[in-house]
Amino acid sequence: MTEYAIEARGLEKRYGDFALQGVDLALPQGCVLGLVGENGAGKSTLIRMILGACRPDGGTVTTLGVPAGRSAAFARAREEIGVVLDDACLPQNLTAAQLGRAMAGVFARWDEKAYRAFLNRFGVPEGQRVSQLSRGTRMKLALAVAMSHGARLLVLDEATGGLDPIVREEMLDVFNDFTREETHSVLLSSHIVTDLEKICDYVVFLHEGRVLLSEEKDALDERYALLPLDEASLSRLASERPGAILRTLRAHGQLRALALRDKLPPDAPAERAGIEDIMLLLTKGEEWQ
Amino acid sequence: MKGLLLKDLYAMRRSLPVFLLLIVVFAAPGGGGASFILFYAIVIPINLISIDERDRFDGLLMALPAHGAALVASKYILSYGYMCVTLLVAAARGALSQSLLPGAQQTYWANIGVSLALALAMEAVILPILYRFGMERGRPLCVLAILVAAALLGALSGLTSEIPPAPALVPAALAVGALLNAASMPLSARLYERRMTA
Repeated sequence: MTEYAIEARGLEKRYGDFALQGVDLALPQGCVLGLVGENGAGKSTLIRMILGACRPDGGTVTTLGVPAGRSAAFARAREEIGVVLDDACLPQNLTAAQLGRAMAGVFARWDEKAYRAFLNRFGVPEGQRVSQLSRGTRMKLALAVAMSHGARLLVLDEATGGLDPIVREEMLDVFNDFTREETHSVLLSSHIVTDLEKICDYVVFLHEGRVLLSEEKDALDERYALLPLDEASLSRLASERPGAILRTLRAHGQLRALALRDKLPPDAPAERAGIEDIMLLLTKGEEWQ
Repeated sequence: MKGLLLKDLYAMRRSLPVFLLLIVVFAAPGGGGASFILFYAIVIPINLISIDERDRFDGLLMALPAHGAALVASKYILSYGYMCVTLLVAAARGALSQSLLPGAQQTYWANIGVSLALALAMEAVILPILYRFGMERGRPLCVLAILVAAALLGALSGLTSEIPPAPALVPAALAVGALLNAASMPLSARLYERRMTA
């Protein structure tokens, strides 16, 4: 069995002015990887390549140990991949019950009992057409489909976007339950960084088609710190500890600095840098001179 | 494949009775003729392709262990199913007419044969266009194809009013229609896959 649920090396894809360049990504089995980045950073393109729905211009990607693409081997691998996309993409004219019957003819290991249990757990009405369901309920239905065919890998592209906090929390609980099995893995792409902070083991930050940061989430805490200091204090610190301050950002009348924790003196007023802080400072911040 | 076929059947279940009613009304004695209603077969895949586009089903398809070819094949199969039902009703009507007016059925069957061949040819041309360009860009080209087919049919009708189509030509026309379809389905699948994976 392969060590990684997803392994991408040097992925390249060009669409007009946009280019995904040299993307490396590795999701170990049994882990949750959060893919984060602003709109147009290339997250969905990367996911399409991971699912074999889009040919890379360069590099390689294997999903569940099989090179992603249009091969018969990858079609079999898809039996074990559950996918929930941004707007669910479910057939609007079908009811949840009809969708289940159709999916039973698509997935070899479709588990109707599990599907009904998920519909019940999520409160999805079986007899209502998809078009009549709220966005939250549609996403739950998509999740029920994704989890009812013995998937070992869940790929979730903005699956929690636009949902209220209660539904989001329910979905995160489901993802957590799913990863209790050590062979189950989740790739979660989201703008909602708080969701990622709750459940991710790894974070990959994509910016303008490149991987800006790829770390274990816990390592982010150990590596980065926020310094709520004024300019003079920062200057002093920077001269004492060269290379300690990475970037600064002035926002809402406040100066914030992203620093490398291991280069700071023990008495520095270092605060925890969340994923959002790191994202903001790495993309919008200025390099400390 | 089975699942995608079922999905398409469910998706068109509300329009299915309308299609069946049209077949019965047009193919019945005194109706407009089964020849005409055979051309409606193309409406089924066009409807289903536009439903897939509206639902962004290609997004879900990349999550399924099925290729675009299966989704494409489902459209052709349902269209052929419609043609088969039409032919069955037409056969029943033909048998009834034969019992009432023996010997007057040769033109009737020749017309149906030619219409079936034209309907198959039209489908073979239109579906690859839609899978290549999508509904929005492909629709004007399809209308053009339909107009050309209608003009051909009109010209053929003009001819057949004076000279009934030689029954020997009908199997040849049907063979051409079938051959075009045999090429059209894999072509549509390839064009769809290419558009999806671009």
